[in-house]
Amino acid sequence: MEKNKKKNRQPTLAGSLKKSATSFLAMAPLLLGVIALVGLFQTQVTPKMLASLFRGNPFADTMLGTLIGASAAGNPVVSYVLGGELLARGISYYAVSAFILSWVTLGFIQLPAEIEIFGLRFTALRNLLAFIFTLLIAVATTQTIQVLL
Amino acid sequence: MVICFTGVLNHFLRPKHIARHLGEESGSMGWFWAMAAGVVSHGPMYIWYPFLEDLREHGARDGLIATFFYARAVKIPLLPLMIDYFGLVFTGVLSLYILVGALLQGLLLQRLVGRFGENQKE
Repeated sequence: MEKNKKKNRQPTLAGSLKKSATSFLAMAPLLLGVIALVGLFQTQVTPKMLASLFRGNPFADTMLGTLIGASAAGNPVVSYVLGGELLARGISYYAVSAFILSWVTLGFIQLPAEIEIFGLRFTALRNLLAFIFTLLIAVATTQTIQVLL
Repeated sequence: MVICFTGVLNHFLRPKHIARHLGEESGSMGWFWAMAAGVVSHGPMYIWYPFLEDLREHGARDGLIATFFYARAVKIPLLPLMIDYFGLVFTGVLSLYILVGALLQGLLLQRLVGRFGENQKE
């Protein structure tokens, strides 16, 4: 009876914090790898380089904007600054909205960590859906603002 | 911060609480909470992995986690900056579509995963 009581007892707050710190530290090498790759992208890729990739075809630019945003990572503010620069260089809203959206919602760099933590099936389904929805939302947003503005 | 969040979550929340708010029993409020949590969450996506893994192990639905991830694209503190760069109409329309997309994505993923509360890793 006493043994059963002990077994069902709630862990202490300190014990719970220790447990979560241990599991977080176990993931630290993976997360540090992601942070290093993000830093590398931010120092090596310029708006001029990005703008030179777009060709003015709405479908191709939406796809390209999504792929570039998904390859990048970092603070969303950086994506706004780059997106603003791209618009100023005459790149379409299709590409820019896809770019800033996939920057936050997709992440090729984070894929290994996501698979490790959530499993392959969940990660594959989530990223596939996020990719499709980013394309759809970029097109829908551009079409809507063309009507509204 | 995430360590503290996860620790407090482990301490106070029992699987039955998670099941009520984010599990099979959560109903439409679960989607609302997942979207709201996504919108107010800060920091990079990968920082939230340990916390979300914990929620998932406690019984949170996969669809809600997908909704949380996508709703993170709406950043309330950054909205003024976004309006400054892209204009009010663009920001408003994009934010609205993101929230609708986050909900649809979660519902679709939940259907594709098949069973509620299935948390196994491959």
